[in-house]
Amino acid sequence: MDGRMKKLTLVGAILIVLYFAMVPIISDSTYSMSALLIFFLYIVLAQSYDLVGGHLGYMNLGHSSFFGLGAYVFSILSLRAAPGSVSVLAAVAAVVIFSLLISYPFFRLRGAYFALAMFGVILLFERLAFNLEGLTQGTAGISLPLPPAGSSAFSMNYLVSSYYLGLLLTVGTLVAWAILTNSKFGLALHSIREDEEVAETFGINSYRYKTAALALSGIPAALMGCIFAWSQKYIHPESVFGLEITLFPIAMAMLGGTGAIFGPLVGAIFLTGVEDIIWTNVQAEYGKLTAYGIVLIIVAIAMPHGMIRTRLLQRPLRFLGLGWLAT
Amino acid sequence: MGAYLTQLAILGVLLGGLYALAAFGLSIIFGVSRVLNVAHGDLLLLGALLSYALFYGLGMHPFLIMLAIIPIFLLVGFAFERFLIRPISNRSPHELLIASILLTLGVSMAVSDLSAWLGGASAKGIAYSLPSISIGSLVFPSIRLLIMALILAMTLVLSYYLKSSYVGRAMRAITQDREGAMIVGVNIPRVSMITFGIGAATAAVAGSFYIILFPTNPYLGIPLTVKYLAIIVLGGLGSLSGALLGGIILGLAEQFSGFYFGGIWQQPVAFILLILILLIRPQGIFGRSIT
Repeated sequence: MDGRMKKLTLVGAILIVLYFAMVPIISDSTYSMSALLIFFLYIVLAQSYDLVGGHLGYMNLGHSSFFGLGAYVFSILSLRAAPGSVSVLAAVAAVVIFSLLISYPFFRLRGAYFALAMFGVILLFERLAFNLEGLTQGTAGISLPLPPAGSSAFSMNYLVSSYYLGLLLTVGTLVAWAILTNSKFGLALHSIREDEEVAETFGINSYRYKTAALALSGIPAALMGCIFAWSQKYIHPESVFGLEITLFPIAMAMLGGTGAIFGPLVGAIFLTGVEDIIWTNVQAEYGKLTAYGIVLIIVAIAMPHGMIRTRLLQRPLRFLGLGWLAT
Repeated sequence: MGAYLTQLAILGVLLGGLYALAAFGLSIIFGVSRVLNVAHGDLLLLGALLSYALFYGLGMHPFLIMLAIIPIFLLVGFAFERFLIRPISNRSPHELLIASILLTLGVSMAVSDLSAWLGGASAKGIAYSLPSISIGSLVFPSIRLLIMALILAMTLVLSYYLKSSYVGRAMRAITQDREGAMIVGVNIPRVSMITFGIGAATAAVAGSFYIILFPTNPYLGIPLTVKYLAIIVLGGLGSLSGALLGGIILGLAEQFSGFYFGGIWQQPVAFILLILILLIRPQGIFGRSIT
């Protein structure tokens, strides 16, 4: 692909980001901002899941436990009047330490067993969040105090500021992941995915790479957890450890196509779009989850390698010089 | 105190039997078709709701409903395999795992949503009870004893069928060595279809017992599936007695943790057990090593 096409694509990407950056300025509808924030949340979770789930080939059904842990550490500290920066750092540190602790025992498992054990972790976390009432306030959930009048403009407009933080995190994750997965590190992860024993013979310390991948994948999720808690001002065990937040990002990554930057992105755009259409058009109380489920069934049967590897999407991606991000 | 603990142990064993009945279906399905059936708890839910409809609509006796449910859900299982699982069954193991989770997750979401739509989201139950039997200071809830007896009878019939019939031997052959079974001429798609039928029927029967004993709401599918996963991981894959033992261990663990630490700690026991067993003995307590 020639250089000009690549430059055009880059300009296009920057324009898209600029457009999203303009949204709070051109419209002050809180609906579109909070809807887009949820969209960013799904992109970040689907993308960060994919580092372990797609590139490393270990299906991590408990990926959102990092998100929930981050959200809870942030909220618990904020409630005790810790400054925002300290709470965020503590949330990230908690997630990294947790991932380092579990990586040795859990990475002895493979395939469905690893997936199941991680799924057990997130269900356990949800129960702990319900039961450890002294720390998490149990079923009541944690309500974060609203910023007092007269504090800085940043904390007053918390929806706008969390929108920008979310946008920044999304772009940052996408760029970091594009660099990371096309580096030597990414190559090592891919070789472990293809054949762990062979990778070991070629001098790759698979345990070290797996641990690093798990810890790295936790960081964007933890940060997103902080942004989520800060923007909603309320978290509940089900909102951060529940089945929706556990399974939707993974469904998005698998639907779009795992192991490529564009996969989770396309999956997140498609499913959030479908969800939005269903949400706004189906007025009934039920029927939405059914439609969502049917989409999942059709995709699982008709697109074994995800949407980005269908001919329909491969051509335009190649044309735009983005094939390297989608194979 | 001693009597109370004995009482708890009895309740635990009875609860475990109910768990095991449904878990066994999940186990043989995973063994034969390598599909992680996330919708298994929803098959139980469908069985429970159908018995609810039959009990209040036609006024059928709760234990006769079981007989009506078996053929219906055999067909449901056949159709499930034929139209949803067969199209993806030729993929490589990793892709099959991913596709099966995605697909059965979709089914599970659709089933719980549709059943909430048609039947309401509130918890339901069948009001049917029998007088308890008391021996000394021990009280036996006779309805649970009766259910346990039925489960044991079903287990015996099933294990005889799986030991002696051609289909049963083919199932074990496929679980142990897929290629080998193909070479000696086992019709894998057909056996897989029968496996799904048996899995769906056992789950549905467990559901018709479940709704007699516990309030049943449309969203219990996935949490139940995870419990069953914990059980089959405990007992080892594909083994009927392993599932029974795993179910009883989970039932006992839930009863005793509820007694010692309070009811809120009953739920997490399954997840803690699942994680611990996977970490300490991935092949299950009684299972042989699986590659």
